[in-house]
Amino acid sequence: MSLYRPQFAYPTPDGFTDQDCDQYFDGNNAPALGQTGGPGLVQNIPLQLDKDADFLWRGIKISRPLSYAYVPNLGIQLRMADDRYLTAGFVPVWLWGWQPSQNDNLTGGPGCILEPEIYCRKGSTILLDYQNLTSGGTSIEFTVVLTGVKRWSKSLCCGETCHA
Amino acid sequence: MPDKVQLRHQDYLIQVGTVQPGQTVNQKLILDNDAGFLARGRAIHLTPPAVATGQSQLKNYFDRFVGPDQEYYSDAPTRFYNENANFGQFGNFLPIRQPVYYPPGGTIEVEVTNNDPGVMTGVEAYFRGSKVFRPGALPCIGYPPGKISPFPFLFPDSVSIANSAQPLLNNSIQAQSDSDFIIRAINMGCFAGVTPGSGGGAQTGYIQLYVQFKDAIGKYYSNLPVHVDTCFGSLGSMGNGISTPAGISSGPYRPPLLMPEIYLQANEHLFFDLYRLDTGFVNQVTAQVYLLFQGMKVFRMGN
Repeated sequence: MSLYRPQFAYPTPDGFTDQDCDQYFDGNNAPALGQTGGPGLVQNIPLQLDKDADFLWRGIKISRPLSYAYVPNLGIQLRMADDRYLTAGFVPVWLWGWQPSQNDNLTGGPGCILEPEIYCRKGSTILLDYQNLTSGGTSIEFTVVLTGVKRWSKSLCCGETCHA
Repeated sequence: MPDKVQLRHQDYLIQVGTVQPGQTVNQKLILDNDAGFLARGRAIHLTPPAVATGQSQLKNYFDRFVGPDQEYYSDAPTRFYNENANFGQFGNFLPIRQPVYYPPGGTIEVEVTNNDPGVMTGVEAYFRGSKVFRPGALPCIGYPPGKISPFPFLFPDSVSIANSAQPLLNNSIQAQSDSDFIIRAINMGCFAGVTPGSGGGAQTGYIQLYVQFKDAIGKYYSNLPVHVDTCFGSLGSMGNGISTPAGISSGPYRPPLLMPEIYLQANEHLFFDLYRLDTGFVNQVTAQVYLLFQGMKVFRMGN
């Protein structure tokens, strides 16, 4: 493994095709993300991935329906479906994950990467815990976007999604 | 530069000191004798005369530096701000293209000109890159032979440091026992509440906080303690005094990278010393400093 290889340098295997994909979660499809009051610690919020194809998770964007200046003192912790933690504790989003949103010049920006990518089976669930790192703080409403690619078998994909 | 080498992350700090308006100062740094140095990026920093002033004086900072042959890379000092709007800070160093190799014991000399109407104090010039060792000079800790299973991983830590001259020495993180841990970026900062319009998250609480990382045998990754926001900052810092680093140029999506990564074997420690030099800024209170070590775990799968 070379230290200086480009990110995500590995080619798509024969017989498959990759399609860019953002998987979006907010209070509508993950209700605990929409909380605006209550305790400061919320655990085991399921982020269920799409069921139509395996997902190669390569990055994350966390934002609020407010502007860049309103970055919260929010700590997050992520766990894969196989119980492996992605973090060794609560990570402040202003150090990893935060993405400028409304009224900012970087809306739709690069996000924070995961290197190497994480292979997620279709329909699998990523568990999210979050905590307001300000003592006595309340819950914080925010959204999560998992960025990456869906990997389709060429034998299954339709004409529109097949980029082979 | 030798063909086969061992690389190790290194920051060199040149303390230029006080530069009067209109004055030009030359400052030399003799590099360590144990290894050559491959300079890959530059940054600058000064002690702000007031919190509100911040680093704005650096817009009138001009400099140039010499290569290993003691020849300058420009005819005259050039405005740093023209090349990097954030002065290379927040771990986003101004790249040196091509990287410059200095032999062991070589000399870096910087020539700094202050074209600001105010006095610049505590001027610092940073060079980030890699120490270049001969193979075998260091314990060769790297990826294990055979199959491995890499997994991205984030290791947060937090330290509270009061506004006093008392340093906090030998803080550490320890790689978990289930795998090796590779550190590719280190972010540090302090969150002191939301201040809309202040420039993103308002990491305040300190002004002059310095850190020096070292490995388990006490070998440092810098010649001196380096300024936290300059070398490992993220999202900007009011404390550092830069007004609103644009979201596009610094933030968690632009992590301060190490060159190259630091490899910790399972259970191995990485130590760091913290020095806070804020006693001149009386309004700065105890700071809760967060650190984030970004990288990946390496699980051994056998042969």
